[in-house]
Amino acid sequence: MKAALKAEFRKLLTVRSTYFTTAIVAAFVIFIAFYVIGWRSTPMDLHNPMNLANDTINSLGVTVFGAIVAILLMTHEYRYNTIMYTLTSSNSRNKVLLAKFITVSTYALFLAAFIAVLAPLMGYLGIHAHGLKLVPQTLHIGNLAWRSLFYGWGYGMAGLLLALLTRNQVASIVALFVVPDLAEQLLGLLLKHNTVYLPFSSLNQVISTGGDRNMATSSNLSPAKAAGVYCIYLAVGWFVAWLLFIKRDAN
Amino acid sequence: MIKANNLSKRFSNKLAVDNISFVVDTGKVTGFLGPNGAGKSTTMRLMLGLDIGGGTTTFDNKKLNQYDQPSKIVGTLLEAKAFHPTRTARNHLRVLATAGSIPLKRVDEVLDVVGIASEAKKKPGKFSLGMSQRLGIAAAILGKPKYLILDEPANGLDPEGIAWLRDFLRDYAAGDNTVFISSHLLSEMSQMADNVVVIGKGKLIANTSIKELIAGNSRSNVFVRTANQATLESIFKKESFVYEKDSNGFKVSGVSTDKVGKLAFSANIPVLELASRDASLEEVFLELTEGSEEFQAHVATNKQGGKS
Repeated sequence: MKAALKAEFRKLLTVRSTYFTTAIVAAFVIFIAFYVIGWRSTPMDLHNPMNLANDTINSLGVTVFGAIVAILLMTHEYRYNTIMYTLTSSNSRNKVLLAKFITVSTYALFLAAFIAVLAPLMGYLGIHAHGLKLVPQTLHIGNLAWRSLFYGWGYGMAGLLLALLTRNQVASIVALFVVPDLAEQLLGLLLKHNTVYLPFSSLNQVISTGGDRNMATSSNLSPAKAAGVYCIYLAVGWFVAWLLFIKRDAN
Repeated sequence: MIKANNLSKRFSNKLAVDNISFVVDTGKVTGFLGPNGAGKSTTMRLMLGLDIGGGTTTFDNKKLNQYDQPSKIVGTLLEAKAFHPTRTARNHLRVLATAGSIPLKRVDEVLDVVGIASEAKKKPGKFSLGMSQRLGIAAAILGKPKYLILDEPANGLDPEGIAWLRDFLRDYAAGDNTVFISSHLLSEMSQMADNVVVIGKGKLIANTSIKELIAGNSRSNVFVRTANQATLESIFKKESFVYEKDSNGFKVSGVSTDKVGKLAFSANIPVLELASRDASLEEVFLELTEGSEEFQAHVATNKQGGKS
């Protein structure tokens, strides 16, 4: 198991797409937090004690890039047929799958933590660089931390799951954008209020309350409930993906 | 020893591998032959557990997944271009070494063995087929495995590379290892392999040594040339030999040179030439697999676009 895990990390760290994607995330966060949120702050923003907390939450949208890294880690195996080596190096497909799970989880958590630290820092610097003054801020660190990490991890897992199910790079990436942005929106027309129970809608509700830990509306699930709903989808999806990974030919 | 027992694989309505059983001996190079679409690659994938199908394969009486470190038991090359195109050759092998708990210093050793040490830091996406094959062979021998399973490793290699591969694999097998290799280069296979497994349309046709395969083939014969053809022919008729007569001499099937020589001597017939003529592996292969080709080409005619 240890060897499979080390090999997965080596795979992750020896392709340029990992660094390229992480650099894009950093660039996005710096631009959005420093310039859009910090430099261009309105007087109302400057008087909002939750400004930096909101800044953190609003920047988490770029964790979708963590899902793309997860997709590449899995689908490169099939695209370039290195799955042949991966599976013949290990005596169990379960070990390989678990190693992928841990590697993607680690990267996704790292990325979410990176964004959660970088975003408020850049926002603060942007405000001060423009010579503006921010009112004292309220940061519920624990609450922000778990929601940020869960959101980033959730997207990473979604990417890996889509890659495991489709085993196709393009199909996985298209699904990653189409399902939350189009399919769930269309389903929402039918489901109305129950839309909140769809997978990506529930994941989004983990952060939709912004920086305020207690803010919940009648139309939304609380972050904890939303996380629970999303975990149920992940559990079912992963069970199917695991079965297919074990039972399907490796090509 | 590799024992494949009742391997079978079905793709929707096509039986790709039909209950095949064979043995691959230790210390020898065993060729795996069959026409295109015969099921060779699928059989190899079944042996390695990459495809899910019927039957079992054991390596020294244990399944591959019963070993703690499979890549130290079996080295594989199933596809030359099985690498990430922008991960350097060295990093590609380092990934495989890490997965197999193989020391990283072994990576540079195998790159040197296959002759691409100078390309270690290059991205293999632009490697030629021959260089890709060498990288694949390096990956296969990384864990110093007892068994090598190689699918068409000579494809794309230049003549020097093919000669190197032949010597390398023979030496590898001689070190109490086992090499199981598929190839379409039958002349190479006849020089390289000790035994062969022949399949056609997913069924086992032969599992024997190359010598026995050729000796037992109807195209192997004894050629004899004499100045006294009429007398010698009468002897052949008397002995009920199967022979063909041409202007130069006789081709006699199913007898040894010793027997023909002794008969001619006892009849005082001067023999000008006496030689055993074995069929080539290609001739034997074509005879064995006749009718079991999945795809058959036809001779081009003028109407089909051939130039006159």
